[in-house]
Amino acid sequence: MILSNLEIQKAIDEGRVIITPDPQPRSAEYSNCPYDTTAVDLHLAGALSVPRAGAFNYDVSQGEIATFLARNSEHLEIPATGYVLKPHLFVLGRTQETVTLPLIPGQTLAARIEGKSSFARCGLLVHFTAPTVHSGFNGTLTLEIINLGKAGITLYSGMAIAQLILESVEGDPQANPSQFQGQSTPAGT
Amino acid sequence: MSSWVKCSIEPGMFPDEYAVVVDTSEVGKISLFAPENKVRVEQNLMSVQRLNEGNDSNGSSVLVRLPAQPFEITSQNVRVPRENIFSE
Repeated sequence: MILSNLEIQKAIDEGRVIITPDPQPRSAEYSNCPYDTTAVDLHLAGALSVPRAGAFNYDVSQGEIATFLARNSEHLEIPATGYVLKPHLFVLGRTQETVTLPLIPGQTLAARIEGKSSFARCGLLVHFTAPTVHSGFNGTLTLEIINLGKAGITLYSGMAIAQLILESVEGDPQANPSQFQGQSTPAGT
Repeated sequence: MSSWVKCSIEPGMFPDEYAVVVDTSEVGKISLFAPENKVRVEQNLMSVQRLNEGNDSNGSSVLVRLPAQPFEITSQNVRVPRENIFSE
């Protein structure tokens, strides 16, 4: 079941979801309130990763994909004047926010990241596959950003570019054999 | 007690992550992007959570949970050679 904005705030207060920095202000009376009725906005961080063009193919069967991807992409820091994403170009971005979904018996949450309709009208997709943020996740969310429109779209660091939708999980997920043995946080945290 | 697995480490797609390759006991080499706070670059080590600790003393491999999802397999839990695990 999707959590309302008030339930998201309650879940944050109870530690069932940890979003850092804490989305503020909470009240809809402020124009910069990051909460919609059933979602909370996430913001674009300043670092982009831009794939290099080249005479190569991504082949998962060859292994060491992480190394291959890293070697064939370059870092880019979004300048204060913005980064213009040209039509049909693809870059990776990340959220400013770190999201943690602890495994808590009977209270575990999962989430989905979605784009925002205003950007969608410009042809911008910010997360076009694998939208699920699984229970137990801890980290920033990687954004798969592509401009499907016919004009450039300017990206700014800190812009509200995506939204997080939280859902309750029915039953307790098992992530590994030792979970729930005195621990309530994701692996390694 | 924290556990570390021997691995190879290179810069990742973002400044605060690393591309890591780990030898496993069952599926060969796997790779993932690990946050910078999970690796010791100069020592070629990555932090892992050791699973079933105490129940794997007879095997030549150790079941660990990786800090991120690898590309080559569907699970974050994987067996690695015992000699590649260091605890402190």
